[in-house]
Amino acid sequence: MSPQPQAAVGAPLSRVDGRLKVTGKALYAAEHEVEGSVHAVIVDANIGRGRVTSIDSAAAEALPGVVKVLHHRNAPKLPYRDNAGSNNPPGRRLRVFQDDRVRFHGQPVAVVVATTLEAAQHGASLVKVGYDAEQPSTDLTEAEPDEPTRYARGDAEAALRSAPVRLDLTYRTARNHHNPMEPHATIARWDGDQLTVWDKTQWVVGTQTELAAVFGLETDAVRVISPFVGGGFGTALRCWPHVVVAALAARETKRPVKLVLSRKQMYLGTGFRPSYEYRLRLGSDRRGRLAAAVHELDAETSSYETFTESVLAAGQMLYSMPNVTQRYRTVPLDLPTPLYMRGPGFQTASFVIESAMDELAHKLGVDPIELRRRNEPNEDESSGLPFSTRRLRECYAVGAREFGWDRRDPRPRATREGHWLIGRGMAAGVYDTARMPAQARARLDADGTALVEAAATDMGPGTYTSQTQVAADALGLTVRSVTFRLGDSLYPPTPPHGGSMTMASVGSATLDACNRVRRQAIELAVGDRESPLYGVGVDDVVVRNGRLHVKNDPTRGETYRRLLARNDRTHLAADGSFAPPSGPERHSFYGYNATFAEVAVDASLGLVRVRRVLGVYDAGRIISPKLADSQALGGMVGGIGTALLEHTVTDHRDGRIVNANLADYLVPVNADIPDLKAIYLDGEDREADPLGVKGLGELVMIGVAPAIANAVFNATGRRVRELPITAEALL
Amino acid sequence: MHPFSYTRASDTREALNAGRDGGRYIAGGTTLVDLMRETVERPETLVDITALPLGEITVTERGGLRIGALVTMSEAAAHAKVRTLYPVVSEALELSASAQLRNMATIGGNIMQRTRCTYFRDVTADCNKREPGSGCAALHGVNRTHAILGTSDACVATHPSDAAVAFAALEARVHLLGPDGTRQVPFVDFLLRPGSTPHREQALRSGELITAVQIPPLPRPLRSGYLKVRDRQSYEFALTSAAVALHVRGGVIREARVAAGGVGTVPWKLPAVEQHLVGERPSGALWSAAAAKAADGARPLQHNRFKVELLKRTVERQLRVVGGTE
Amino acid sequence: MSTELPELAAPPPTGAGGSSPAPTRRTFIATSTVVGGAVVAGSVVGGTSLIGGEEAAAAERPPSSRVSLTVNGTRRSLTVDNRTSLLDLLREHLGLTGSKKGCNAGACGACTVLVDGHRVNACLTLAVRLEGAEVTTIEGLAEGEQLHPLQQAFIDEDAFQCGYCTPGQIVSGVGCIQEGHTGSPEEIREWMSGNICRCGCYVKIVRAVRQTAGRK
Repeated sequence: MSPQPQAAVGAPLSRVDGRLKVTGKALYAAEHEVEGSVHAVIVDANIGRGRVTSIDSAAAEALPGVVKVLHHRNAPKLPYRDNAGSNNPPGRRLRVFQDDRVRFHGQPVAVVVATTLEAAQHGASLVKVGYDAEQPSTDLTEAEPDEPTRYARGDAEAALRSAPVRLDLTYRTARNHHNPMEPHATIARWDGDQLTVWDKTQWVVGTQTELAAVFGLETDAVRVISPFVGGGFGTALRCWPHVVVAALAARETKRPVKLVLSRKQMYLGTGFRPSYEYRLRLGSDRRGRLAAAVHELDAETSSYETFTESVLAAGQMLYSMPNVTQRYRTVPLDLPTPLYMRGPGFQTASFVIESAMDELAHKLGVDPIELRRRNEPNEDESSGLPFSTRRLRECYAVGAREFGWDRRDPRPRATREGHWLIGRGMAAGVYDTARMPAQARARLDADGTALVEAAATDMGPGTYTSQTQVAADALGLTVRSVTFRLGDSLYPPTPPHGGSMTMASVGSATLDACNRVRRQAIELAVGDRESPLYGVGVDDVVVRNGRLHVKNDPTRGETYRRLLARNDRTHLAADGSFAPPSGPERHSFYGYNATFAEVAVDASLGLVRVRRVLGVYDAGRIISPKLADSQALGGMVGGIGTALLEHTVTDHRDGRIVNANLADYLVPVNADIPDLKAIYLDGEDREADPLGVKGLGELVMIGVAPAIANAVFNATGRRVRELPITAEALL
Repeated sequence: MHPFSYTRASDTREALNAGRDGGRYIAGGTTLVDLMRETVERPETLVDITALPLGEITVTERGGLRIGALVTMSEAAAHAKVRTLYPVVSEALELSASAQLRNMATIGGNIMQRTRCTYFRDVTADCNKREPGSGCAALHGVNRTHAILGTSDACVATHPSDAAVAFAALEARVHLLGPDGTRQVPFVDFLLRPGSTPHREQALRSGELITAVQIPPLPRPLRSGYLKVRDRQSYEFALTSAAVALHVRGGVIREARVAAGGVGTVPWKLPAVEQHLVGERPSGALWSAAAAKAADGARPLQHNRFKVELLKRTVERQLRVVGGTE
Repeated sequence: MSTELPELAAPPPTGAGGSSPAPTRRTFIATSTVVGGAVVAGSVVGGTSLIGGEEAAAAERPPSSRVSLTVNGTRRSLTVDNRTSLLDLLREHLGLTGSKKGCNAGACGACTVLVDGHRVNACLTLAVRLEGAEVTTIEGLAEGEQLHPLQQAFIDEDAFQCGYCTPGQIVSGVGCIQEGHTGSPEEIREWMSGNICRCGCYVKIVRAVRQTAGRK
């Protein structure tokens, strides 16, 4: 077929669901009206490790409105079939109310179901739980690590010993919680053996699969609905125990149950970015050419599951060097299991590597950008594969120009404005371009409108809008004529809405489904004696604004409506799919960025204020520029939080998180955010996927924290190797 | 939240009667409702006092100010007289909480605000303030935000109010109305240091109602201001703060009022700093020397040692800003 | 430059198949007392009890009170559990889920509504205290199909992503503009800091508020 004109893709459209969101009509998980719903509130363990020895629910059960109190003593045994999917890491997942073990502070130990929210909340506060408490282990630096994962090329230790310039640096990153504004919430309803849940999830298919496994059901017996997700950042990539609690409570009470986690409970077992202790040793020659790197990193995981993330890749491929050794150990602790958080793995690695590169640049007296240029690889040295695209040099050049990098004084503490020390820093960022199999279906109706469906998610990046744009161009329709639906497990399956793979995967499936429909229409027309397109080659027809016409003769054609009406067709429909090429990859796929930050540091009070951030991205083709810009700016805000504010704090005496709320776990507020700017390099990645995209959501956060840390060094001469950077480190 | 009965008091007599019967007064409710939801507070009866005529700001003789207990934080901060006579008060208010909370919360409630200590707010943790005799989990726990001044082995929680720091600096008086009539309490005596009874936070008698906070007149010209140091630029409690008011005449500091926040179990008046300033000529050296006394007597904890230095620097900075010799 | 689309052509699914199996408005909504507005005043004498389900015998019911308030121009007379927050009243009982619960502790601003013209946190407002109050929520800002200028500005500037904090941001922004705290981007940033946006749309929120304030 002839390539379609691209009118919608690349146009700065406003969100197709914007009106629903600004009028309060977009329905999030807890907001669906399910007749007869009752409320459930979870009771959290208040020991960090041990056993439940008694549960007294009499006072709660005596409350008017309380329907049931469920806990391990009265809950039925659940099948909990193995499920290696659904983003369950290796290990034995937490089984709600199946035994008396307490594995972390805040683990669900009971649930109170009541006809009113007030009664359920009050009831939960009245359940008396007795414990046999043990001393929990929650300190990463004090506990015994698991067997490491290793990587090696060359002989890094030997190369390090003989390197003229050596750095030995240890960095620490804080535990971070995703904290989407919408708390996790589930409404569960049973119709016989059929379970329907309205859930906050980034993967309806994953939640469906997990619930089927837990309850021993056929997958088709579970339906998961999630049309709007109030932010995710990774926390909703798994079906957490509270979803099971809601479904279990609904089954036991024979009522639909609504369960909304409190903000505090968002810290008690819905994932987090684990804390790391990361030692990096670098060796280079006197010009800064890297010879060797030794990475030794320890990360938190739970006692019952081993969570790992892509924290090694950047160290293997971002810079050219012959010798690399990596040792990555998880440390099982009495904590809930971590889960991917925006830019998983790469975010942490990038902070360490890019801080270290800045340290090296300073030590050598080489400009940080120049140092990076000198270590730019020609191929992916971890695999020997060519890069699909790698335009990092261009990112540096554009960024340096736009930011005014040449006006930066490389000497620390050299730039002062009143009591503010001004500093500028930069960092490179990298995130892998993930793609997974996805499906979509498209239907063109006789009225000339189209409906496209996929079991995808829109947690904020704009899936509704960008998929609509892809579909509109592939079908030759205006955006207004296309409706894209997502968030229902009845729709064709898609991969998780994470890892920045929705556009590449779902988008390519949408493209395929719509191409097939268009082809059907074209074939119908060129074979129809009454069509003005009769006899024209299929490849010579394009569709624009719902009208098929000869590519080089727009006057010759007809509309979809006329074509379908004349042929008595109510609709044309097709299923589409996408799968990355099978077999070994022939390219190395990554997105890249150069991020620049300017900070002001109050020299005596130790306060860091970000003044501006610029990100320049090699992210492939941009489908929806207006939304992509928002996503990049949002990633910068997330990076500012990681750099300066965010830190989940545990009291190691009993494993209690002491700042499990939004007043004490600080995320950036409006006053923290200056002018931010994002620039996407024009272009596309023809190797990655049919759309030429590389994914945005993760990439745009990576590089921000090290750019800020490097700017703080430039401002103050203080090298802070621990995130977040707070006043006490700078006084 | 535990159940409670609710009554609206239409006048002070009704309020006092309800208070005498054990009712708990509620005005803005921003602290109380929050703590009731955490079951830290479990009042049996709420007495809604918003209809009481305590919502006026009046200029008293010789230029003092009387702020009614039910004036909201946003009203007080925006009030022309507050802004011109005591910028330190309006600045402290506007640097507190959020616009929404300031629209709800009242001046009386603000000085009654309870600590943000995480262990106080968590009913499963030990806390002498909440549960006398249970112990203080913060003393050897996570205590970065806790107090370094006025602490005891029973309690190290900070008082969270910013406005109270300004009031303490200005030596305001709290007007009270009780079953036995009215009385006034100096601000420094109104909020109690924890000692061995951290659950006693204010010098309030049973059923007593705050009717106003009165700021005494100070000689003019008076320059004043509030500095709040925090990790986040807004919507956060203070790590440290300083309220400063100076009366300089003939090139000499005649009156100085200085207090600190975020560091004390109560708003921390700094008489040693004040005494160092009075009678001296403003200079950078003076500010440094005076501020060096700001943390006298500090007892830092494991995670808040930095506050000792930060407090001195905060006070010094604000002396410079207000003193105008920066 | 940008094109705004009127609305998602079909609302996203909330139920099985093509037609929604989800029920219509909760039953008590149908019986709640509506006075004024489009409903004839005095048509219903008694109020609606929102406190407890059928299991709760009247004698055991938690302490509750009668309250009459106006929500988005509609007067409502209700009996509420004294513990019910304005936010839960809106979301759980009046079917007005536009106001969001983000923290339930006054620390995020997602629940921001106007009470008697002032922006407040609905999560920390006990419904029982709102006798005679006028409440405006996100659902009450548009005039029919005509969006409030700030709603339109949020769409035009793309001042949101996930949309969950958005109603609170917009209502807070309306309050901010009314208060006159829009003199500069810095002033807007400070006075909009009571509304957390985890997607990080602050730059565009400031633009939307500024643009709307400038138009007034």
